[in-house]
Parts: sequence; structure tokens; C-alpha cells
Amino acid sequence: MANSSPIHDAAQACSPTDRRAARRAGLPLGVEAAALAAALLWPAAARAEGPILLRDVTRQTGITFRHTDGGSGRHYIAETVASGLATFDYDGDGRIDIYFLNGRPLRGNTSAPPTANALYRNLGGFRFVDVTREAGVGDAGYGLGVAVGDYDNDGWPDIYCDNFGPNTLFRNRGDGSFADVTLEAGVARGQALGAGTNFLDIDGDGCLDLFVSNYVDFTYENHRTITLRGRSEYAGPRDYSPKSNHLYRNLGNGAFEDVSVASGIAAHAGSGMGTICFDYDADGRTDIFVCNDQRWDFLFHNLGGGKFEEVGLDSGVACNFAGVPTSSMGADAGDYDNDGRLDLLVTDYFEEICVLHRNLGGGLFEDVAPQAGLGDRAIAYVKWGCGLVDFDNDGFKDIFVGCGHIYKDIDVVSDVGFYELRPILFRNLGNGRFENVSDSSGDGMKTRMVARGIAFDDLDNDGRVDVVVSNRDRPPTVLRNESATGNHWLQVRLMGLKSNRDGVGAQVRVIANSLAQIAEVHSGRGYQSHFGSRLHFGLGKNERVDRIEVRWIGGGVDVLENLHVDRLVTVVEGASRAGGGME
Amino acid sequence: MSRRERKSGPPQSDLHGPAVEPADRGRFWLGVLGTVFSLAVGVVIAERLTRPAEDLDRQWSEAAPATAPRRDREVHPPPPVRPSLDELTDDATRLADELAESFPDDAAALAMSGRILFYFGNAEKAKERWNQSVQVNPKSAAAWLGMAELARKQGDSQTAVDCMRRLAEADPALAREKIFLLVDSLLKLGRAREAADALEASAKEVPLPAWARVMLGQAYYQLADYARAAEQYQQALDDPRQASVAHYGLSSALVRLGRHDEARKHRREYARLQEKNMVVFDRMQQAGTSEERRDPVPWYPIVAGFHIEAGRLYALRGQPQRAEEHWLRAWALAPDRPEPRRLLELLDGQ
Repeated sequence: MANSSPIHDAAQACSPTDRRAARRAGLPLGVEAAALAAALLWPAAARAEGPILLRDVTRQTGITFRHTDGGSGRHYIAETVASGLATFDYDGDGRIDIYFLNGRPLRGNTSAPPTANALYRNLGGFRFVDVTREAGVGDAGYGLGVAVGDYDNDGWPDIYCDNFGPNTLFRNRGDGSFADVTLEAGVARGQALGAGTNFLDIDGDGCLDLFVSNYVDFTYENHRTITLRGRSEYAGPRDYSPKSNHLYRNLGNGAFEDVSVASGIAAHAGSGMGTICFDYDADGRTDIFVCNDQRWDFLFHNLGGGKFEEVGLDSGVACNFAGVPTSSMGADAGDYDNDGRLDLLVTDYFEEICVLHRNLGGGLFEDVAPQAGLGDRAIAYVKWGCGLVDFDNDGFKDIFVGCGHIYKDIDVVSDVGFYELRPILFRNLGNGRFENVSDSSGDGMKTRMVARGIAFDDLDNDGRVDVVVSNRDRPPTVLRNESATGNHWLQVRLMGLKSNRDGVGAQVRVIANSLAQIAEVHSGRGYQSHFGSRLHFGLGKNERVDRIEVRWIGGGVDVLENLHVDRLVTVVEGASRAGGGME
Repeated sequence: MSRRERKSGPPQSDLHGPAVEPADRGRFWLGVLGTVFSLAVGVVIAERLTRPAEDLDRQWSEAAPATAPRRDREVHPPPPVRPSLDELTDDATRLADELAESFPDDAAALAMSGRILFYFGNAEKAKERWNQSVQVNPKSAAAWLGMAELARKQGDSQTAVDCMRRLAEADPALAREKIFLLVDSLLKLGRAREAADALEASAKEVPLPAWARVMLGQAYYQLADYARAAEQYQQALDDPRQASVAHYGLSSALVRLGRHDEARKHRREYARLQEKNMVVFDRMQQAGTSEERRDPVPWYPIVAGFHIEAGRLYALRGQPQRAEEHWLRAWALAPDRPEPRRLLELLDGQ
């Protein structure tokens, strides 16, 4: 202890200062300073492995995809926000596959090879094979956001990519290949800088409609840069005019109608990033939340009849607890406190803590991030993809946040910010508070990333949710969940018949003994990504599920009782009422 | 605070609490002004922390006859210099290293060296210097303050709190003055009770400024004491710099008190003030150019201030020639600052 520093890098749990601390030469201490050093030393117990273990298994996956931001040194703002990814079972083999969005060479970049999105088929055992060519989904657009949904209700999930430039809709043919149906569907959206996107059923007609957000009004012609300490750097979102978003109504015949203006969506311009559609007021209609970078976030309340009203400020989700419109990046909706209402998690920028909007009911939220413990060692990071995910199957959703800076040379420009950063993991303590367990949750949490989109799904069907991170201008990272808690779990897949085929928008309530949880099927979430079409419920030590209630978007309710745990259950709409209901 | 602002300036000083209300962060030009202001304040504080300037001047001028030869020439201003930002950074870094080498056993000099490095983005080295400072003198208030600021910026709220507690032991008055750092860190840790207690204790000593009322409102809100929260926010409404966030906090508290109509009114007022700020910001932003943003001029008086203080340290240690060099450098960097001339005249008067 005598040679320790008075100020220990307690932030090292997820701070790059640890590598700096290691370089520091120790000096003799006075008694008082030594006492403080002891007090500040990170508790030894915190360094031990905790209940959540995430291992970095990227190398064994066979994934060779490498993201490019297409930059050429001109510092286009588009480079900073790429890209999202999707995890879903495209071929119906029961294994979750991975679809990576990619950038493409931007103007001025003449040296980069052609790039494309990539689809990796899950072979099992954390092995993946690139099937992009045969699947025909190597969209050469500059990919930013993605959503998956069965827009034509044929039983096969389709892909929509929100790009810089025209967007793309891939229809899943069901034979392992996709068709580009953008033009006939009428959802190309034109030349804009896209962001998050979502399938949702705005009117309960059983056909998935499409929400498409835009970042800012950026073009090559209005491109600008800023200078930091003599270096040319990326401009920020407020250097550009805001953009309104798009809403397309599914006509049920393979085509969509642009209802952006008629719905009221187009009346609000922002700087969209991550988006999520969820029924925040439990009125049976899916609403739309849009993260806006350095502007008030939007919450479009679905009024029915195809109309939306923006209620972000009144509901309390437009900004953080202090009234500051943060640099909102990614968003996820889930019931972190198991009170039966969907809460809202929002990630943001350096010097901001994540926002956790607790749903108070009555259409109101309050940001409880500080009280919930989310201010612990997360402020120094630029935060992107996120998820409310139960990693240890204890029945309470934890929080995973991916990090990575905007500026590639931030390490040179600043001694506080870093380009590559470790992710952050907050474990839900079950009492409304979270604990930062980034240091004690396996080597995967020590991997430095330039995270953007993150997807959470059970890639090996072992009942534990794994993580896939899309890194800007780098290969992705795959984290395998090896938490050994002995806790039980249940996964629920919905099959709509009257409702949309994948049950997007449906809410599922699972009751096991005294543990009651809800979840909703979302298409598009986190940071411009898609994941979690199969709902995952940790059950703790409960060995039976007493009851599952499914409230479909169309209004029907299915109830299943007395189920076994540790399995995937498929609930078919209406079947329970007909005496069946489960596969 | 906008992305570029966060990166373009040195670490923001919270020495006097938020110079611009949080809701206004993100407005570049306002931010620049705020940065310059806080830097200027920071220099003054850094000087004050190193040693009260007048005391120090008296000390060295009294000691000088025994150590310095009398000079017979007049004091002439040096030609102004306009170094680039990179050159200025190099200048400041050299100065910081020089101080550490020249005064390895002087806690104040080491603390000042740390602050210079912190301002110019070298946090790691700054932390080393502050560590050295508290090893020399465990009651080095400037070093504890610097470490608290750095820890807060690095997201290590617990260390920031611990350093502020040490600062309170070393210099209670300074700790009270910088209570923002303590309270902000406590609130981020979810320790609202301690934050409220700290502010209430401070209120017994001095009237709380509006930003502190807002923070106290936040603390009570976190404690679910919505009536008290509303009371605190209410008291901050009259300060134009805090008004919008105070209206927001008040509306949130009123919602929890079930006074929805009033809440709506304050939420609307918050929105009106915020939108006004944003329009002003965007207009200024769009009128700006990158050339303006790389202008190092606001930094000249800052670095000059560091040279002034370094000169004082040398003068006190009986090294008038080194003192003169630094004061001349300060004068050249900031011809409008009166201190270099006054100090050189004092030196020549010996």
C-alpha cells in the first residue's frame, strides 16, 4: 500500500484509466493519503466473477464481417452513426441468425473496396457462415438502421434497411433467399440520412406498417466540419437542420402508402437515432418513441384512426430528469421493476448518464436513472446500443450498454475520452436499483469496442441471452452468456393469425409463483437495430410457470396455464380459446 | 453541451457551479463564452489556490532585497505574441513540467502544474502531479479539488466525493464554495439524502444560489419529498440562467403532487424558454465558421495567468530572473492584463 497512488482509479471498472494507472509510478504516501487509498481501492470482491458471465467468443464464430464507415478523412457526419444490426431466424431453423449493416465508400473515398451488408446463418455451437450472396441481402446502400418484420404475413421475416440514400425492403422468399421489393412497396424514402426503423401495426389491421426515422438534413453539399485543437473533426447534429420522419401504411397488397403527413408524424422534425415502438399507456395501440440527438425526444401517442400526437414533453420522456435534452442514441422498452408497465431506457453521450424513464402509469414517466444507480461510472462514455435484458435469469431485467467515441483520434485530442471503450453492464438488484458489474462479468466485458448497434438474443438456444455488437469500422464482437446461476427461463414466440404473423406489438404476461413479468414484441429497438423477437423471461428458481397471458394487437387474449420451464413456447393466436394454443 | 464544445475546450470547470444552466448546454457560442468565462475564473482560482497573490507578492518583495540585485532599467512591454493553439499548448505543458522540476517539494506548485495539464487535456499527467502534491502536503486543497474535478469528468463519482471530503478537511471554505462538485457526484451516485444534507448545511452558512436550489430540488425529488422539491425549484425561477430547468423540475414535482394544471403551465414555460435558447444557439451556430472555432485568442489570457503565477513562485524562491521571464511571457501573451507590468515594476523597484 505504501507505494500506491492516493487516488486509485476506481473508475477502472469500465474506464480506460486502468491502463494509465498501470503506467503510473507509485510514490510514498502520508498516513492520511494511504488511508484514503485504502478506502478508494476497488473492493476486491467486486473484481471476482459475479453471477453474470459474458465471454468474448468472436474468434470461434467464423464471422469475418468487418464494418466500414466509408470515411475518407472528410469527416462526414454519417460515418459517426453507422451502423445497426439485426438478429432473427431468417430460415426458420430455430436458430437466431445475424444480419450486419455496413457503410459504403463515401464521396472522396476512392480506395475502399466495395462493401455490403452481410447475413450470417447460425450453424449452432456459435458457428456462423456467410450466406449473404445466396440470400441476396448484400444491400450496397449505406446502412444505418434495420428492422425485421413479416410485412406480408407469409410466415417468413422480411428486412427493411434505413440507409443514407434510398432504403431497401427485402422480402423473404422462404427458400433462403430474399427479393428486393423496395420499388413495388414504395418505401425507398429518397435521399436522406436514415436512422432507426420499426415495423408496427398502427391500426390493428393485422398488417405491419413501417416507421422510418431520419437523422439530420445532411447532404454532401451542406457538409461541414469543426476543428478541435487544430484537427478537422465531425460536426454535430445541431450543425444541420432537423428532419421529420416517415410513416408508411401497409395496404396489404405488397405496397405501402406514405401517411407521414396525414398521421401527424411529419409535423415534427428532429435528429432521430434509435427508435422503439411500444404501447406505453397500455391502451392496445402501439406508440412510437424516437431518440433525438441533442433535441427533445419524441413520443408519438397513437390516437387510433391512423393519427398520432407528439406527447414527449407532457409525458416526461423528452429529456432527462434535469430538463436537459440529452444526446439520445439508443432506446429499449421493458419492465425493469416488474410493476406491469413498460419503462424506457435511453443511452446518450459523454458527460451524460443514461436515462431510465420509469413508467408511472397514466401516460407519465419520470427519469429515475440516478436513484436507480445508473450514474455509477458511466458518464465518461459515449453510449449507443442498449438492452433491458435478463442475463442471469433472475426475473429482473439488467442493462447492457455499448460504448465507443465519435472521434477516432479522441485519444490524442483528450485524455478523458477514448475511442475504444468497454461496454457497461448494470445488474438489476430487484429493488429498483442497479449495480455496475462490468468488472466482474467475464472477459467479454473487458473487450474494447467502438460499439454502435447491439443485438441481444439466445444464439445457442441454451436459455441465456447472448450479445452481438456491431463496431464502427471494425469487426463485430460476439459475447456468449455463460452465466451459471441455475435459474430457470422461458422463451415465448408468438404466431399471429388475425394479428400480424410474428405478434409484433403483442404484450405477454408471465406469472411464476410471485414473479410476474410483462414483455412486448418489438420490431426495431436499441440503437437502430433489431433483436428479441422471441421474448425471454428469466424465472429465478421457479420450476413451473403458472400462467401466460398474451394480449394481441387486435384485441384478442390467449391464456396458457401450468407450463414447464426451460423451453421455447410458441403461442398461436386464438388457439388457447380453441383448446390448444401451444407448440 | 455540444459535441464539439465538449471536445474543443479544456475540461470544464465547475468551480462556481454550472456557469450556464444545464438546459442551455449544447449551444456552441454560449458554450464558448461559458468556457472562456470558466477558464478565466479557473485561472483566478488556480492563482488563489496556489497562494493568495497579494500575500505572495508581499512575501517575495520583502524577501527580494536579500536575494535579487536591484535593477535600474525601465519596464517596457514586450512585443505581443500570437502563438497557435498547438504552440500555446506546448508552452503550457512546458510550464507545467518546469514547475514540477523546479519545485518538486512544493505542494502548491505541483498542484498548479496539475491544473495546467488538466486544462490542456493531459489528465493522466495532471493526476500524477496532484498525487505528488498531496504526498508532499496531504492538505493540498488545490490538488484535492483538481482530483475531484477529474474524477467527476471521468465518471468516477465515488472518488470525486472522497476527494471533496478531503478538500473539506483541508479548506472548508473552498469546499463550501465548490459544493457543486460534491452534490453533483452524490446525486449521480443516487445518494440524494447526503446531497440534500450537504446543501442544507451550506444554506446555513451562505444563501444558496439558484443552481444550488435546483440541485436541492433534484435531491428532494429523488427522495420523493415532492413538496420540498417544489419549494426549492420555486426559489430558482427568478434566475434567468436556471429558470428553464427550474420550471421543468417544478413541473415534475407538481405532477407527483397531483397538481397537474400547474405542472402543465410550468412545463410549457420550460418549453418556451428552451426553444428560445435553441433558436438563438442555432442561429449563432449556423453563422459560425470552423475558422472562428479554432481561434486560440481566448486562451492567451489563460496561459498568461499561469505564467504570472509561475513568476510569483520563482520570485518567492529568490529567482527573480525566472520570475521576470514568466511575467514578460505573460505580458506578451496578454498585453491587456495589468498584473505582469505591475509585478515587473515591483521587481524593478527592488
